[in-house]
Amino acid sequence: MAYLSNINLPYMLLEIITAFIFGGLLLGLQRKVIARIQGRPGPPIVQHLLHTFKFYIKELSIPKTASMPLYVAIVMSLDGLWVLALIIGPILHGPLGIIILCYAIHKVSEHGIGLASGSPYTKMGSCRAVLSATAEMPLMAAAALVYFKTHTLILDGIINYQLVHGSLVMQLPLCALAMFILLVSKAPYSPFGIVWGKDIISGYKTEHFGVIRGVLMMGEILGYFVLLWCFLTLFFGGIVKTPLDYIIGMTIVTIVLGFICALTPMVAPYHSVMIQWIFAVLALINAVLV
Amino acid sequence: MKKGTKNKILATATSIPIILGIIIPLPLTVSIVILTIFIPLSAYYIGLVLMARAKTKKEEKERTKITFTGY
Repeated sequence: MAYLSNINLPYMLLEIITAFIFGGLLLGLQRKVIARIQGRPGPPIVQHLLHTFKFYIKELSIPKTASMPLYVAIVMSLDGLWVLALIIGPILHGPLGIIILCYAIHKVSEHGIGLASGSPYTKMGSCRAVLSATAEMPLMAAAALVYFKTHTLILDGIINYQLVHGSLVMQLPLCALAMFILLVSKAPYSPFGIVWGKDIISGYKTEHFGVIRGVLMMGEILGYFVLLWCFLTLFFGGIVKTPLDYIIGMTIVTIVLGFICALTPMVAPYHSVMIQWIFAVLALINAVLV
Repeated sequence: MKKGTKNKILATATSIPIILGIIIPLPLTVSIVILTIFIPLSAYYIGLVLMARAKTKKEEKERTKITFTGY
């Protein structure tokens, strides 16, 4: 952990900006892949980033039914949560437990965002956020199994284990699959994306416009980046070492996610949870077999 | 105090800890706390200032627009 002495605020800020730009491009790439599969030209790859910046100059309108200051504060907390996860994970290679904690709290934040505006659509989105919180089981199962295998929950230790013993994807393939299902559930336009399903307009973020939406999108970009990084580090740590490896790995995973999201319709909320639970159980079976 | 001025002050105030952290070497824990708290806050208040500026520009454009109502 001697390298930690070289990590300072400017370095972390630079990493956060890089993650934001690259994460935004990845989400743009995913939209492009979805569009091409569906026979449309699709938006340019940089569109997701431009969309985020666009909201910064759009007028902010707060619904009359919103409970201030929760309406603004909860979005800030969600954003802060992803910044913290980014620092702990990709920058410091710290404890995996804190990243899992961030994922657990982010569901609470989604619930709060939905309730704060007072709209029935956002309330429905927030209820689904609570429902889909149970679907975070693959992440919990993956973390537990990785611990049993590597005897550490510090990301640095997990990377070192894989450098010596090979990537965990070869040792815990079903566990990696369960984690991949979590990635699918977090990707935009996902078959498991019940929280922001189009049947409830935009789910919990239906009533968030202007700057608030811009900040919300910023958090989502960082969250997507952290999740991809965690997946590659936890299961491909022996292969993915340099930043270039991560760029290639994240691009490949995003293209695969684009294919899945383009070809699969959104499933019903209960089915979404059920499918994710099945994959969590498969991961546990993998652990028993190993 | 005007709302625009208040937002400008808040945008500056929330950016100061980050700028100070860039200039002065701070302990790791303090840096993490500063980034976690002040990045979302400064993004929000800077956004409000940008939004107000864009709105003023739009209004100015509308005000100075020459409209022809006929011959």
